[in-house]
Amino acid sequence: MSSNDPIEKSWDLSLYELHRVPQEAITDETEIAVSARALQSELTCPICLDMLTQTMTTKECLHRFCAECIVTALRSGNKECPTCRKKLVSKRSLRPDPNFDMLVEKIFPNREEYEAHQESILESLSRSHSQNFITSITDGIKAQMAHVKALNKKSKSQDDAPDSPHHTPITGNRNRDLDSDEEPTPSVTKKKKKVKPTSLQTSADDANDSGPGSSATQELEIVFKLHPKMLENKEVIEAIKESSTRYIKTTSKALVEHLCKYLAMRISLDFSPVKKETHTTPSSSSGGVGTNSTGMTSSVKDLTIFISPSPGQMVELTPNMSLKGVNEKYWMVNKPMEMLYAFHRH
Amino acid sequence: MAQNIQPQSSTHPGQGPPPKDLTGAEARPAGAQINQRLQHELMSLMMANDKGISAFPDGDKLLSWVATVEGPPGSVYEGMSFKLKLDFPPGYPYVAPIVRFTTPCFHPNVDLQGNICLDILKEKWSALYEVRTLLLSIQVLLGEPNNESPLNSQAAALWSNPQAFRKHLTPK
Ligand SMILES: [Zn+2]
Ligand SMILES: [Zn+2]
Repeated sequence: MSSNDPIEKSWDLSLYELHRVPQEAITDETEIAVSARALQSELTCPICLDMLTQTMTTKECLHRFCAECIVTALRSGNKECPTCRKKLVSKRSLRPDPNFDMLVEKIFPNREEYEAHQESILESLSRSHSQNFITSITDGIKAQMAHVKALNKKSKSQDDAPDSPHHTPITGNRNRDLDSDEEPTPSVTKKKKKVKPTSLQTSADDANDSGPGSSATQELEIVFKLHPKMLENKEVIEAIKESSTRYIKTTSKALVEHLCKYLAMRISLDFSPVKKETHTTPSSSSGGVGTNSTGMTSSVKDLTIFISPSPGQMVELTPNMSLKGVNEKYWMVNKPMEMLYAFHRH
Repeated sequence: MAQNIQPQSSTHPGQGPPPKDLTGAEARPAGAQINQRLQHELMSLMMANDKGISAFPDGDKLLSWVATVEGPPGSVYEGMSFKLKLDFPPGYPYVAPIVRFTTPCFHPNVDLQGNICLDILKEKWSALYEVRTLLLSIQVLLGEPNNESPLNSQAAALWSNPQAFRKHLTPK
């Protein structure tokens, strides 16, 4: 480790530490299952909620943070461990933890891919309020776990592991083949299996609780299209032409209001020129926390959603209506609900 | 203790266009970091699916959220639902968000403007708190006020008398 670290004179062992019996090492083929969620939380920085980058460990309480995060935290005045409030006098109460970084790297060797994956999940999160993201995330982790497994027992073939941790996010602007593969009703067979199983299908296999079709919270698919009256607005068309049609899958308990909010949020992102940051080079930031830049200054106003129960008919949906209600009242066909949206800008 | 975080001070997020520092020197602009963290929080809120709390970005502004907290069961607020507004200053999560009740809340630790007196929103703030944990704490506070240092002394005085207290609760 770093040479300028003074050797600690004494470590006071707790009673537990004095008396504990070492665990027996596992020497046989026993596999230990670690829940993906638990593992991920171990590797997550509690400040940025992302994977640890340049891990720093507090010397006394052994809590871990990204270097950048904890340094910023100390600089912003709180001279205590954010996790347990133990006093942290200065940066010297921390030590870098390269071993941990190595561990993270071992477990997530293709971290960049992982991050890209995370990003796409976060991206789609703002599009849809759906249980799917959860399965999608666990899937991403699962793919990584498969890799870990492969590391542990190199001999065994990898055929059960997805060959790429790169999953297509479930939502997105795929409006073409809606009815083909991911029908919520289990009766529909997967006729088109062109790609690797999507995260949804994979997760269906492993008895993940609220799978699609489970009665508790039914999921509904919705296709959003721009309201014809919006087509006159050139600026709007320019900004969102690529993504004017959106596909959302969400719980039937969601309200129209929720959809309005999501759409408004998503659309204003399209209007904002700010590009997503992609490089992840960690560097000690120089107190840049003061700048406010969300890139979300443009805003979408009065977003309203319509449904067309029959050709030529157009009904505006009230915000407090649940999707279940909308479905029962206006749709009731076993295919994604089609809705139209319109909005103003200022 | 001695730290003085004053979320109310000048750190309030401006409404103007974000100053763009595109020199490229910074690895990650703070804005992106805040954004990412808030998106993570949104996700964890959804994953947790807690009973009695919810929060959501207010329209297109990720730095301003609306939340609801339901009165804890067994308390005088049972069956009531309160709306709150959360504003995330640029220093978030190193500084606490500014949280206010937007529906009237007659409570010893809530003033008439909806400001909340809660240590973790002030000097006890830690970057580890999230919207989710905050809302849960606020929900607990509803049922277990700190009557020692009330913002609303009338509410504090009446607290021990639920019947009289209830008369001050505005039905929604
Ligand atoms: Zn971090
Ligand atoms: Zn600690």
